[in-house]
Amino acid sequence: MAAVRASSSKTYFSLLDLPLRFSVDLADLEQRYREKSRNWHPDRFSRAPASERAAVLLRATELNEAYRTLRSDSKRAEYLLKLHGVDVSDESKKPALDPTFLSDILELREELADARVERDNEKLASIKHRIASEQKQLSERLYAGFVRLEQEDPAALSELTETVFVQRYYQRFADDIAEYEEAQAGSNAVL
Amino acid sequence: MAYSNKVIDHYENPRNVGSFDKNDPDVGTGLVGAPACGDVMKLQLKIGDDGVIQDARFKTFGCGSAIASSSLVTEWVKGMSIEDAEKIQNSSIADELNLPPVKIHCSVLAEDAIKAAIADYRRKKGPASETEKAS
Repeated sequence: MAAVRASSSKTYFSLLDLPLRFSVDLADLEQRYREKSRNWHPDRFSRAPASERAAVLLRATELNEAYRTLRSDSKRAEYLLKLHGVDVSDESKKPALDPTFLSDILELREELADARVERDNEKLASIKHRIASEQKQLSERLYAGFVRLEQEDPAALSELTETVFVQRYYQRFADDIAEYEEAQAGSNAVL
Repeated sequence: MAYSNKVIDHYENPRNVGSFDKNDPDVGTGLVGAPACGDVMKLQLKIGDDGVIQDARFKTFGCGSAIASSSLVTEWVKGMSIEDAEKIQNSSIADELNLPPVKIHCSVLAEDAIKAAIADYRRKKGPASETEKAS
Protein backbone atom coordinates (compact mmCIF):
# COMPACT_ATOMS: atom_id res chain seq x y z
CA MET A 1 0.00 0.00 0.00
CA ALA A 2 3.08 2.23 0.13
CA ALA A 3 2.66 3.44 -3.44
CA VAL A 4 -0.90 4.48 -2.72
CA ARG A 5 0.00 6.48 0.34
CA ALA A 6 2.70 8.37 -1.49
CA SER A 7 0.56 9.26 -4.51
CA SER A 8 -2.50 10.45 -2.63
CA SER A 9 -2.00 12.64 0.40
CA LYS A 10 -5.71 13.27 0.95
CA THR A 11 -8.16 10.43 0.61
CA TYR A 12 -11.71 9.79 1.81
CA PHE A 13 -10.09 7.65 4.50
CA SER A 14 -7.75 10.38 5.70
CA LEU A 15 -10.62 12.91 5.74
CA LEU A 16 -12.19 10.76 8.44
CA ASP A 17 -8.85 9.91 10.11
CA LEU A 18 -9.16 6.27 9.13
CA PRO A 19 -6.39 3.95 7.99
CA LEU A 20 -6.42 3.03 4.31
CA ARG A 21 -8.09 -0.34 4.78
CA PHE A 22 -11.12 -2.06 3.39
CA SER A 23 -12.35 -3.29 6.73
CA VAL A 24 -14.37 -0.50 8.33
CA ASP A 25 -16.46 -0.41 11.50
CA LEU A 26 -19.65 1.20 10.24
CA ALA A 27 -20.75 2.55 13.63
CA ASP A 28 -17.33 4.13 14.14
CA LEU A 29 -17.43 5.53 10.60
CA GLU A 30 -20.79 7.17 11.23
CA GLN A 31 -19.63 8.68 14.50
CA ARG A 32 -16.51 10.12 12.88
CA TYR A 33 -18.59 11.53 10.06
CA ARG A 34 -21.01 13.19 12.48
CA GLU A 35 -18.24 14.75 14.54
CA LYS A 36 -16.40 16.08 11.51
CA SER A 37 -19.62 17.36 9.98
CA ARG A 38 -20.36 19.31 13.11
CA ASN A 39 -16.93 20.90 13.01
CA TRP A 40 -17.27 21.80 9.36
CA HIS A 41 -20.89 22.79 9.31
CA PRO A 42 -21.32 25.92 7.13
CA ASP A 43 -23.62 27.50 9.77
CA ARG A 44 -20.68 27.77 12.13
CA PHE A 45 -18.84 29.93 9.64
CA SER A 46 -21.66 32.26 8.66
CA ARG A 47 -19.66 35.31 9.77
CA ALA A 48 -16.37 34.17 8.28
CA PRO A 49 -14.93 35.82 5.16
CA ALA A 50 -16.31 34.57 1.85
CA SER A 51 -13.17 32.68 0.90
CA GLU A 52 -13.22 30.78 4.16
CA ARG A 53 -16.92 30.00 3.80
CA ALA A 54 -16.26 28.57 0.34
CA ALA A 55 -13.46 26.38 1.71
CA VAL A 56 -15.71 25.14 4.51
CA LEU A 57 -18.48 24.32 2.09
CA LEU A 58 -16.05 22.38 -0.06
CA ARG A 59 -14.82 20.45 2.95
CA ALA A 60 -18.39 19.67 4.04
CA THR A 61 -19.20 18.38 0.55
CA GLU A 62 -16.08 16.22 0.53
CA LEU A 63 -17.02 14.79 3.90
CA ASN A 64 -20.48 13.84 2.65
CA GLU A 65 -19.00 12.20 -0.41
CA ALA A 66 -16.41 10.38 1.71
CA TYR A 67 -19.09 9.03 4.03
CA ARG A 68 -21.36 7.96 1.18
CA THR A 69 -18.47 6.13 -0.48
CA LEU A 70 -16.98 4.46 2.57
CA ARG A 71 -20.17 3.18 4.15
CA SER A 72 -20.99 1.00 1.12
CA ASP A 73 -18.90 -2.17 0.64
CA SER A 74 -19.04 -1.95 -3.13
CA LYS A 75 -18.30 1.78 -3.37
CA ARG A 76 -15.49 1.48 -0.83
CA ALA A 77 -14.02 -1.41 -2.81
CA GLU A 78 -14.20 0.54 -6.07
CA TYR A 79 -12.63 3.57 -4.42
CA LEU A 80 -9.74 1.55 -3.00
CA LEU A 81 -9.14 -0.09 -6.38
CA LYS A 82 -9.04 3.37 -7.94
CA LEU A 83 -6.36 4.39 -5.45
CA HIS A 84 -4.49 1.33 -6.70
CA GLY A 85 -4.79 2.57 -10.25
CA VAL A 86 -7.73 0.39 -11.34
CA ASP A 87 -10.76 2.36 -12.51
CA VAL A 88 -13.66 -0.07 -12.81
CA SER A 89 -15.99 2.58 -14.22
CA ASP A 90 -13.69 2.88 -17.26
CA GLU A 91 -15.82 1.50 -20.09
CA SER A 92 -12.88 0.62 -22.30
CA LYS A 93 -11.77 -1.99 -19.78
CA LYS A 94 -12.88 -5.47 -20.70
CA PRO A 95 -11.82 -7.89 -18.06
CA ALA A 96 -11.79 -11.57 -18.95
CA LEU A 97 -14.56 -12.89 -16.75
CA ASP A 98 -15.45 -16.52 -16.25
CA PRO A 99 -17.25 -17.39 -19.53
CA THR A 100 -20.08 -19.17 -17.76
CA PHE A 101 -20.72 -16.10 -15.63
CA LEU A 102 -22.34 -14.06 -18.41
CA SER A 103 -24.57 -16.93 -19.49
CA ASP A 104 -25.64 -17.45 -15.86
CA ILE A 105 -26.55 -13.78 -15.59
CA LEU A 106 -28.42 -13.87 -18.89
CA GLU A 107 -30.32 -16.98 -17.85
CA LEU A 108 -31.31 -15.38 -14.56
CA ARG A 109 -32.39 -12.24 -16.43
CA GLU A 110 -34.57 -14.34 -18.72
CA GLU A 111 -36.10 -16.14 -15.75
CA LEU A 112 -36.88 -12.79 -14.18
CA ALA A 113 -38.50 -11.51 -17.38
CA ASP A 114 -40.65 -14.68 -17.57
CA ALA A 115 -41.62 -14.46 -13.91
CA ARG A 116 -42.78 -10.88 -14.44
CA VAL A 117 -44.88 -11.80 -17.46
CA GLU A 118 -46.40 -14.71 -15.56
CA ARG A 119 -46.76 -12.59 -12.41
CA ASP A 120 -45.18 -15.47 -10.55
CA ASN A 121 -44.43 -13.86 -7.19
CA GLU A 122 -42.88 -16.97 -5.73
CA LYS A 123 -40.38 -17.15 -8.58
CA LEU A 124 -39.67 -13.41 -8.30
CA ALA A 125 -38.93 -13.83 -4.60
CA SER A 126 -36.63 -16.78 -5.26
CA ILE A 127 -34.65 -14.84 -7.91
CA LYS A 128 -34.33 -11.91 -5.54
CA HIS A 129 -33.09 -14.24 -2.85
CA ARG A 130 -30.51 -15.81 -5.18
CA ILE A 131 -29.15 -12.42 -6.13
CA ALA A 132 -28.95 -11.34 -2.50
CA SER A 133 -27.03 -14.48 -1.58
CA GLU A 134 -24.63 -14.00 -4.54
CA GLN A 135 -24.06 -10.43 -3.37
CA LYS A 136 -23.36 -11.62 0.14
CA GLN A 137 -20.78 -14.11 -1.12
CA LEU A 138 -19.17 -11.44 -3.28
CA SER A 139 -18.92 -9.16 -0.26
CA GLU A 140 -17.15 -11.90 1.67
CA ARG A 141 -14.76 -12.36 -1.25
CA LEU A 142 -14.03 -8.64 -1.15
CA TYR A 143 -13.15 -8.73 2.54
CA ALA A 144 -10.85 -11.73 2.05
CA GLY A 145 -9.32 -10.21 -1.08
CA PHE A 146 -8.49 -6.88 0.52
CA VAL A 147 -6.84 -8.59 3.47
CA ARG A 148 -4.58 -10.31 0.95
CA LEU A 149 -3.99 -7.05 -0.91
CA GLU A 150 -2.97 -5.38 2.34
CA GLN A 151 -0.54 -8.25 2.88
CA GLU A 152 0.83 -7.38 -0.60
CA ASP A 153 -0.25 -10.61 -2.28
CA PRO A 154 0.52 -9.87 -5.96
CA ALA A 155 -2.49 -11.83 -7.31
CA ALA A 156 -4.99 -10.05 -5.07
CA LEU A 157 -5.47 -6.90 -7.16
CA SER A 158 -6.61 -8.63 -10.34
CA GLU A 159 -8.86 -11.00 -8.41
CA LEU A 160 -10.44 -8.11 -6.56
CA THR A 161 -10.98 -6.27 -9.82
CA GLU A 162 -12.84 -9.28 -11.20
CA THR A 163 -14.93 -9.56 -8.04
CA VAL A 164 -15.89 -5.89 -8.25
CA PHE A 165 -16.88 -6.27 -11.91
CA VAL A 166 -19.04 -9.30 -11.13
CA GLN A 167 -20.56 -7.38 -8.27
CA ARG A 168 -21.50 -4.58 -10.64
CA TYR A 169 -23.57 -6.98 -12.74
CA TYR A 170 -25.44 -8.18 -9.69
CA GLN A 171 -25.85 -4.65 -8.38
CA ARG A 172 -27.38 -3.57 -11.67
CA PHE A 173 -29.66 -6.60 -11.50
CA ALA A 174 -30.72 -5.82 -7.93
CA ASP A 175 -31.33 -2.17 -8.89
CA ASP A 176 -33.59 -3.27 -11.74
CA ILE A 177 -35.62 -5.43 -9.38
CA ALA A 178 -35.92 -2.62 -6.84
CA GLU A 179 -37.02 -0.18 -9.56
CA TYR A 180 -39.60 -2.65 -10.83
CA GLU A 181 -40.98 -3.25 -7.34
CA GLU A 182 -41.22 0.47 -6.75
CA ALA A 183 -43.11 0.92 -10.01
CA GLN A 184 -45.42 -1.97 -9.06
CA ALA A 185 -46.05 -0.48 -5.64
CA GLY A 186 -46.79 2.87 -7.31
CA SER A 187 -49.34 1.42 -9.73
CA ASN A 188 -51.00 -0.58 -6.96
CA ALA A 189 -51.33 2.57 -4.90
CA VAL A 190 -53.11 4.28 -7.79
CA LEU A 191 -55.53 1.37 -8.08
CA MET B 1 -30.06 13.13 -21.53
CA ALA B 2 -32.38 12.83 -24.51
CA TYR B 3 -32.35 9.76 -26.71
CA SER B 4 -32.37 10.25 -30.47
CA ASN B 5 -35.52 9.33 -32.40
CA LYS B 6 -33.78 6.32 -33.90
CA VAL B 7 -32.85 5.00 -30.48
CA ILE B 8 -36.41 5.47 -29.26
CA ASP B 9 -37.77 3.74 -32.36
CA HIS B 10 -35.53 0.68 -31.85
CA TYR B 11 -36.20 0.70 -28.12
CA GLU B 12 -39.98 0.79 -28.53
CA ASN B 13 -40.09 -1.52 -31.55
CA PRO B 14 -37.01 -3.70 -31.22
CA ARG B 15 -36.32 -5.82 -34.31
CA ASN B 16 -35.51 -9.50 -34.13
CA VAL B 17 -35.82 -10.05 -30.40
CA GLY B 18 -35.53 -13.67 -29.40
CA SER B 19 -33.33 -16.70 -29.52
CA PHE B 20 -32.17 -19.48 -31.82
CA ASP B 21 -31.14 -22.88 -30.53
CA LYS B 22 -27.56 -22.29 -29.47
CA ASN B 23 -26.71 -25.92 -30.24
CA ASP B 24 -27.75 -25.57 -33.90
CA PRO B 25 -24.51 -26.02 -35.90
CA ASP B 26 -25.53 -23.14 -38.21
CA VAL B 27 -26.00 -20.70 -35.34
CA GLY B 28 -23.25 -18.56 -33.88
CA THR B 29 -23.91 -17.10 -30.43
CA GLY B 30 -22.15 -14.04 -29.07
CA LEU B 31 -22.56 -13.19 -25.42
CA VAL B 32 -20.94 -10.00 -24.19
CA GLY B 33 -21.22 -7.72 -21.20
CA ALA B 34 -20.31 -4.20 -20.15
CA PRO B 35 -19.07 -4.45 -16.58
CA ALA B 36 -19.04 -0.69 -16.11
CA CYS B 37 -22.84 -0.57 -16.33
CA GLY B 38 -23.83 -4.22 -15.91
CA ASP B 39 -25.42 -4.59 -19.36
CA VAL B 40 -25.62 -8.06 -20.93
CA MET B 41 -26.14 -8.64 -24.66
CA LYS B 42 -26.75 -11.88 -26.55
CA LEU B 43 -26.57 -11.85 -30.35
CA GLN B 44 -27.21 -14.92 -32.50
CA LEU B 45 -26.56 -15.31 -36.22
CA LYS B 46 -27.95 -18.03 -38.44
CA ILE B 47 -25.42 -18.56 -41.19
CA GLY B 48 -25.81 -20.46 -44.47
CA ASP B 49 -23.24 -22.81 -45.98
CA ASP B 50 -22.30 -19.97 -48.37
CA GLY B 51 -21.19 -17.89 -45.39
CA VAL B 52 -24.09 -15.45 -45.71
CA ILE B 53 -26.03 -14.43 -42.61
CA GLN B 54 -29.64 -15.51 -43.13
CA ASP B 55 -31.18 -14.33 -39.90
CA ALA B 56 -30.31 -12.73 -36.57
CA ARG B 57 -31.78 -12.53 -33.07
CA PHE B 58 -30.85 -10.64 -29.96
CA LYS B 59 -31.65 -10.36 -26.30
CA THR B 60 -30.25 -7.40 -24.42
CA PHE B 61 -30.67 -6.51 -20.79
CA GLY B 62 -29.49 -2.95 -20.50
CA CYS B 63 -30.23 0.65 -21.31
CA GLY B 64 -32.12 1.98 -24.33
CA SER B 65 -28.91 2.60 -26.29
CA ALA B 66 -27.69 -0.96 -25.77
CA ILE B 67 -31.05 -2.34 -26.93
CA ALA B 68 -31.12 -0.01 -29.94
CA SER B 69 -27.53 -0.88 -30.91
CA SER B 70 -28.22 -4.61 -30.88
CA SER B 71 -31.57 -4.22 -32.64
CA LEU B 72 -29.93 -2.14 -35.37
CA VAL B 73 -27.12 -4.60 -36.05
CA THR B 74 -29.55 -7.53 -36.37
CA GLU B 75 -31.11 -5.57 -39.25
CA TRP B 76 -27.78 -4.66 -40.78
CA VAL B 77 -26.17 -8.09 -40.79
CA LYS B 78 -28.99 -9.96 -42.52
CA GLY B 79 -27.81 -10.79 -46.05
CA MET B 80 -24.20 -9.90 -45.27
CA SER B 81 -21.32 -12.31 -45.57
CA ILE B 82 -19.66 -13.05 -42.26
CA GLU B 83 -16.50 -11.36 -43.57
CA ASP B 84 -18.43 -8.12 -44.13
CA ALA B 85 -20.31 -8.37 -40.85
CA GLU B 86 -17.01 -8.71 -39.06
CA LYS B 87 -15.96 -5.35 -40.45
CA ILE B 88 -18.87 -3.44 -38.87
CA GLN B 89 -17.38 -0.73 -36.69
CA ASN B 90 -18.96 0.59 -33.55
CA SER B 91 -18.59 4.12 -34.95
CA SER B 92 -21.09 3.34 -37.75
CA ILE B 93 -23.58 2.12 -35.15
CA ALA B 94 -23.03 5.17 -32.97
CA ASP B 95 -23.38 7.51 -35.97
CA GLU B 96 -26.55 5.87 -37.20
CA LEU B 97 -28.16 6.14 -33.75
CA ASN B 98 -26.64 9.52 -32.85
CA LEU B 99 -25.33 8.10 -29.61
CA PRO B 100 -23.90 10.66 -27.18
CA PRO B 101 -20.30 10.09 -25.98
CA VAL B 102 -21.41 8.49 -22.69
CA LYS B 103 -23.30 5.82 -24.66
CA ILE B 104 -20.58 4.95 -27.18
CA HIS B 105 -19.73 1.84 -25.15
CA CYS B 106 -23.18 0.44 -26.06
CA SER B 107 -22.20 0.45 -29.73
CA VAL B 108 -18.85 -1.15 -28.82
CA LEU B 109 -20.81 -3.88 -27.08
CA ALA B 110 -22.84 -4.54 -30.26
CA GLU B 111 -19.67 -4.69 -32.38
CA ASP B 112 -18.11 -7.12 -29.90
CA ALA B 113 -21.28 -9.24 -29.94
CA ILE B 114 -21.12 -9.66 -33.75
CA LYS B 115 -17.46 -10.66 -33.55
CA ALA B 116 -18.15 -13.08 -30.70
CA ALA B 117 -21.06 -14.68 -32.59
CA ILE B 118 -18.93 -15.17 -35.72
CA ALA B 119 -16.06 -16.58 -33.65
CA ASP B 120 -18.50 -19.03 -32.04
CA TYR B 121 -19.80 -20.08 -35.49
CA ARG B 122 -16.27 -20.64 -36.77
CA ARG B 123 -15.41 -22.67 -33.70
CA LYS B 124 -18.41 -24.89 -34.37
CA LYS B 125 -17.78 -25.28 -38.08
CA GLY B 126 -14.13 -25.60 -38.54
CA PRO B 127 -11.84 -27.02 -35.92
CA ALA B 128 -10.32 -28.96 -38.83
CA SER B 129 -9.82 -25.99 -41.12
CA GLU B 130 -8.50 -23.87 -38.23
CA THR B 131 -5.79 -26.41 -37.46
CA GLU B 132 -4.94 -26.59 -41.17
CA LYS B 133 -4.44 -22.87 -41.21
CA ALA B 134 -2.30 -22.99 -38.11
CA SER B 135 0.05 -25.69 -39.45
